[in-house]
Amino acid sequence: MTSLPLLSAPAIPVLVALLAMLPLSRQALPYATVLAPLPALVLALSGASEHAQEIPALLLGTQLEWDTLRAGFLLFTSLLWTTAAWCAAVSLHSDVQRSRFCVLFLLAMAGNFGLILAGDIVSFYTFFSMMSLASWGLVAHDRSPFASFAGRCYITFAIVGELALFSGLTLASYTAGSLLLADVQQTELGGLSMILLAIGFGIKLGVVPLHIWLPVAHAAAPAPASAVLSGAMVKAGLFGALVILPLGMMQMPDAGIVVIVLGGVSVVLAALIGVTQNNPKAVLAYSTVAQMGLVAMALGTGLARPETWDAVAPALALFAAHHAFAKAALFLGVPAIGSLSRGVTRGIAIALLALPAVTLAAAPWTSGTVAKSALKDAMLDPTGLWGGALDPALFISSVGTALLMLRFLWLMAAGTGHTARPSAWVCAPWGTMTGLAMGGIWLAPFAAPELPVDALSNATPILIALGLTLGILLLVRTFGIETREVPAGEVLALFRIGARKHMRAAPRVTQIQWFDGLPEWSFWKWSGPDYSAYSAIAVLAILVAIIAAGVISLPAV
Amino acid sequence: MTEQLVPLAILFTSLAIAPFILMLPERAVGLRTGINLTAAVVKLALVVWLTYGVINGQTFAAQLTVLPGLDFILRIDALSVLFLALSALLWLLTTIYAIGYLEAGQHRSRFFGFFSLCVAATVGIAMSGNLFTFLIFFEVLTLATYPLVVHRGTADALRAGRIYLAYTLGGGIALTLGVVWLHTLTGAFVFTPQGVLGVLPETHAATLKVIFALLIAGVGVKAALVPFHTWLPVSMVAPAPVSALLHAVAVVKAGAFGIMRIVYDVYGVEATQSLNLALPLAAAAAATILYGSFRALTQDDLKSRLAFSTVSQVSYIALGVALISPVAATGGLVHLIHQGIMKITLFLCAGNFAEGYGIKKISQMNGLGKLMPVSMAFFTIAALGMIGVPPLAGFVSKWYLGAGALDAGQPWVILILLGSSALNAAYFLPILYRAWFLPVSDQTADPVRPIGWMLLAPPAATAMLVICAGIFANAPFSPLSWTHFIVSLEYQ
Repeated sequence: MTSLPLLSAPAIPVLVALLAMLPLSRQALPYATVLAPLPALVLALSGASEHAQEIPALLLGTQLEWDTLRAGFLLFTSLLWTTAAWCAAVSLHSDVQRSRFCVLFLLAMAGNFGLILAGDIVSFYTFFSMMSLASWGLVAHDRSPFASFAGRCYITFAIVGELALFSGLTLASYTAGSLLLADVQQTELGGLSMILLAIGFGIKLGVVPLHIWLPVAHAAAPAPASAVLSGAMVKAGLFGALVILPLGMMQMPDAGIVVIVLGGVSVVLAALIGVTQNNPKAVLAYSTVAQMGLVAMALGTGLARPETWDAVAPALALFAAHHAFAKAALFLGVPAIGSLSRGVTRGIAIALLALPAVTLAAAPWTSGTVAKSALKDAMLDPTGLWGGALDPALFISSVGTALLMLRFLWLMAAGTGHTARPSAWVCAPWGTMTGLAMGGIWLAPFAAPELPVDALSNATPILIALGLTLGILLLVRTFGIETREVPAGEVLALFRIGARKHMRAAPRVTQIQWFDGLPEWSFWKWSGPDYSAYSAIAVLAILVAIIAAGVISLPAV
Repeated sequence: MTEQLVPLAILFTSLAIAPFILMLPERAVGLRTGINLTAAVVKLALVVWLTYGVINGQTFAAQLTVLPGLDFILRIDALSVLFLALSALLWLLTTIYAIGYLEAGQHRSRFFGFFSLCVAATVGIAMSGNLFTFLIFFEVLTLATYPLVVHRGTADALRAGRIYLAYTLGGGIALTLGVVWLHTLTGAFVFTPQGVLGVLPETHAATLKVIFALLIAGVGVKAALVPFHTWLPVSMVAPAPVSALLHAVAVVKAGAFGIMRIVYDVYGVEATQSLNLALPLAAAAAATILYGSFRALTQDDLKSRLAFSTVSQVSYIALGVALISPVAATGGLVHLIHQGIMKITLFLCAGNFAEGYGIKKISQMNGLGKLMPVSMAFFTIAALGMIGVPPLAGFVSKWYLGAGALDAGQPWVILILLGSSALNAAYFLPILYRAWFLPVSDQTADPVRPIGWMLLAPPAATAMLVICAGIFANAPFSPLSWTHFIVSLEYQ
């Protein structure tokens, strides 16, 4: 096989983006965007055998690789991008900025495909940055104050993540004495590079406390962009960890426990805050944080008990695929439901929307229960790392997810959060995605998982969540309790309050509403008190402090 | 024979035409343009031929004895080729741009005359075979640039010219002192890889340190090392093509190139290290990098933000040289080219914004991506390159500097690189956000003049180079590959 097919996956979207330079092609660009992921899709379905390709002239010597793990990631990633591009072509039909959207969408797509195929550090970092930076424009696409605020949050974290990754990868490749990912993965990395890489990937994954950009950014982006952000792009953090960190090689019990705890906190915190959200997309974003918390718990298990890694890695990939399909179907459902007027059709649509929701909540006989049991079985190890804590932890996570899904469906049925009504054709990509959410994971080139025997027991968390929801509803209605939304991104609200103080003489600190008249304050001007900028500097300072501490403790290299 | 003629020919393509152009009447547009472009193309062709020769092991040198023991030497080595290629290529592009830019301007003969002289001095610096020759061209450059800085003749421009002269002439004095002093110790010498000092570091350590400080201060003024940088942001009152040339090729690069020559070919890597001169130089470069970036943050004037960015970025070169490691040296040397192509793109685009819509301040740039999509696209590419976003040119420099810092056992340098990248992002990304995401403000909606191909083709070419230098970094003849070749000579 020549080098063309592997390179074509990221190259074709870039070439299509270049088409935008020709004024004549502007009209065709959204449709070309739908076709751009096809080479990647064909490659993922081709069942090509494991191989590597060198392109020495590119970058610092590029190597592209192909194996089962990459095939699995590329499969769900390319399916997601194709469907999301289809949705974008329909839902952004009358958007005056759709050319800009398409160009950035294509660049992010190319980055996402490329990083999956990358076999060397430099091309991995190149594609990773390309994806991160291009998505900035997707998050900040809408010309609303909320979108521009979300854009600022997103880019601040993205840049910090890039810097952490840059320094982590430089250190890692220096330690390994090689630019190849495979070599780095076989090397015992120092604590500093592990921490830097964990920060870089953790920001992308949205693990607490690096998650605060995620609910804001995923809620602000147009729905097709949110679908790929939440479905495909967060998985880049997982993929990076899978191909770079020496998981299964080094035993790091302390680090493993820290990652497990952070994952657990993500699961609980995201569920608690997520259910208070009034924006359905923010609920979905918090659900992503919760699910990635589960991923972090599995990664932590691999760190603490390397001997479990051979079982955990494929289970994680399967879980990633399951979450990608289900989450994308839910996000694409937002404009789809929004396109329907109230009536029977809409009722049916909401019922259909419940399908990916219950899949995500791992209801019996869904693909979700398959993915989740596989992950659970892999994480359970005889060495007693969990000491019986795994079952309750996963149970809580399931209840949390079910609660979030109920909240989401409730908000969708109530019809809030959507104003402009797109063409009803957006239901087509949504329907496709829903189909994939139900059965997509069986397309993946992993060992075909089977439905667990005691599937019915998985219904318990969902029933408990239902009961809880009804109970809370009853309480709220009976006693007339006033409920409030926790602002998406939690601590970011502090900066909002600060900004308001600066803007207005008498700030109403008690009422933090995200969507009404956000003041146009001046992160970008650097004039006057500027709290978001300070937050960026604070994050950077923490990063610098961590690196400085590491440098000091670094043995002579 | 050709071995002697080629260096002279390269020098004379721009030196000889300067007086002609100066004497041409203002209205002789066609003739002036013809001479300018022909000279630039011929020079580029000569440099290409010469590069081919150097690869095949030919040595090019021309020598003239001025006084016994004082030789005027033009000699071409791999390092010269790096700087020659940069100046020949960017001179051609800037000339094309300048012709379009000054279409209706005044004193064009004076402008292009000194423009040629300026480039002649730059290639002279690149080809200098010893410190004496280097010094001559270095001072010619100072004087040839002055009329370009004050070209507009306004009070601001004259003030900038005075500051420019005060700084660069002061630097010249320090450099002259250093050169003379060094000659009293060593006698006559030519630039030699791995240095010319021999056993002197053991016998005259203290003197050599003082001389080093004088030499570096002398070239450091042009390289805008803090605290000698003040003239650079002030000089941005000059017309856009001058700023572009000043920042990308001629003056600051002459300074950076001087640092390379002094460290590599006069003192040599070993002596620089054994005299403990490397770390102070690295510290000065690091301080400049951060200081320039911090100052750039607060500038609303686009050109002055770019100027402070130059202060910061040029010191990447000095940093790479000062970290005694072949990997870091690769990063520093390659940045000579990379910073050049990125910064020239930024300045040419800034010139287009000023010409096209009268936009000079960043606060006026809202929605500029809608008004001038092509120029803004080039600007975006170069700005992302400056931040160090892969796969653009700036990333390659940054990667080698970072890896070199580890290689040299100086991991703190990575912190400097991170800080600088973060600051670069903080002062470039807001510009991009404004231009591409904010609506056009009413005051800027009317075009001043259309931007012709002469103003678009040069930044288009350099933006393409920014992309290609990164994507094809490992290809033969890329700046990176050439730098690997040079470094293999310096670190044997």
